[in-house]
Amino acid sequence: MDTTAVASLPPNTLGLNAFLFMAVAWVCVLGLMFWSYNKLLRSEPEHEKLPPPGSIP
Amino acid sequence: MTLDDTVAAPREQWGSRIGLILAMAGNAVGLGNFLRFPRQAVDNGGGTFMIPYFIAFLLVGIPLMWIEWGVGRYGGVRGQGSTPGMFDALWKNPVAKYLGVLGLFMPVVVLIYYCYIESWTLAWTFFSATGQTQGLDQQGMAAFFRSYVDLNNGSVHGFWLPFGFFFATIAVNFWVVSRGLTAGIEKLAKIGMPILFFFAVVLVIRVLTLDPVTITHEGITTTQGPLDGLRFMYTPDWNALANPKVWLAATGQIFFTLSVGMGSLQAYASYLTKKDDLTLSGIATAATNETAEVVLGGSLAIPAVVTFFGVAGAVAVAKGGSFDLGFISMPLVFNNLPGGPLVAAGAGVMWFGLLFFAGITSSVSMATPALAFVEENFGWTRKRTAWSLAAVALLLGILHIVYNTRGFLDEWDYWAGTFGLVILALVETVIFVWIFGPDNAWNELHEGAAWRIPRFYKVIITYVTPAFLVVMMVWWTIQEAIPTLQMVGVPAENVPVKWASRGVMVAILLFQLWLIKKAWARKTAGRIA
Repeated sequence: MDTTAVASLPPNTLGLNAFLFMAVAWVCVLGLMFWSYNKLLRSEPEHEKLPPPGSIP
Repeated sequence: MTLDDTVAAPREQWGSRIGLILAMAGNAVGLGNFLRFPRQAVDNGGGTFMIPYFIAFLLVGIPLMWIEWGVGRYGGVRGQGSTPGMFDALWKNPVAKYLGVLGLFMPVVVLIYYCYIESWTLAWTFFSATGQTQGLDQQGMAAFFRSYVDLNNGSVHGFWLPFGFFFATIAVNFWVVSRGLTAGIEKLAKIGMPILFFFAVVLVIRVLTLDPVTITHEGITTTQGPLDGLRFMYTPDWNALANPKVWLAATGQIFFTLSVGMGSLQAYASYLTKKDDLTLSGIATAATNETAEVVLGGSLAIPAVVTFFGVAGAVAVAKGGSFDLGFISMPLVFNNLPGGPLVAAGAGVMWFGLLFFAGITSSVSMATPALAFVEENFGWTRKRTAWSLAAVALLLGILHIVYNTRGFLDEWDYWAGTFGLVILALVETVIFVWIFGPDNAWNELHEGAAWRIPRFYKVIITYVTPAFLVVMMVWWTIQEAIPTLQMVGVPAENVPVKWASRGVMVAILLFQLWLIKKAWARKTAGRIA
């Protein structure tokens, strides 16, 4: 990686390029995680579904 | 004979969906998420590493995750909790069960040396809690680490200490698996994973809120903070994209991090029922692992090391390897944290504690295929199987402790923990997608599915993923496997140790092939009787 780019900025600065890459990476993984858990929570496992009303004698 | 038409005995099932996902994610989240990933990113183009990394995740990681869940569940509903039986059920060919030996061999071999490395994290949790790593400078910390991992260098630790922590690690691991699926593995995941995430989040917040530090390195004074560490890690190097090594490093990282090609995901998935979802659960598992790796793993070690040692220091640490980063540099970072010895001890316990939980939730999964195989084919009880395997792991683990610095572990790590993963992944993909059939595989994945996989993934699973795996295998064979086999650059005094290491691996493989033969002979005899 290009270490000269690191040295040319003021101390404790993220920089636009690095920020963009980090932000996209974080949004991708966090987005995928929240989407999948949200969808899982909304879906009802097949074997946990209640039988239709009146189907149990 | 195949097992497809045999009546499956009732098997244990996961207690809850969240327990299953946490156990699967625990299997995937390991030491590599926090130690290997940041080094790989720094070494392979910084921010640009994330491009091949995510492409490999979508084209290889996610498809293999689904394939392994599919193979596992298909075998599980037919009473098979390990790959010999799973492959035999999918492919009506006498060879299939023997190809399945890979899914027994790799997890057992990796389990043994992984438990040894896991025992280091347990030892360092203890050293951190008791303040033994405090007050040491760079040389002192390096000597503290080297003395522990090299029995010939007893300058700091006693000879028997590494054995003690290894025995304790084996005992905890096999106590968990001996309790069974829900009372052991699922319970560990439900406790261990939240603790791991809690420790990681606390440490990330502490690291990212550190004040900039001024240091002098080789006569040059610089001031840097944690954001410089993130910049160091994520600044893109576009030239890296044209380098095939970067693409292979990214694909390799996806392999290691998701624990695919090992045989353990299939074993866990074998405890699913036909009505259980695996499409969305597979994605949730992979996404949990990626969050632990990219968001937490990427924001811990490198930003902390850059803050206290500068970019030049971090480069030197990265070159020293993942273990130097985790066991030498991080304790030094904790010693420099504002707040004194109590904060240093707390941070050390959290760091090594999270590594221990990341390790144990993975290692218990590696024990599962062999346990399932022996239980189902030879009628042994869970406890008897678990403690027998523990005895084997204990005895063979001693070889790793004694010959660690002479390349004994490296051989196992390369052939079983690296190269073997691609072979099993390719074999299972060919069997599940091509031999079982793309349509059958697709339908199997959607049994009980809570979400339909987009149609274009059928093309990816059928053609792109196997092609990716073939390219990887050919590249790794030329670049690494042949030189490793020829022991290029290995010091002459280590050559006999490395041959002995290979000999033990071959013995394990042959023993497992013999067990498979015996198991199928028993089944045939049982049917005739």
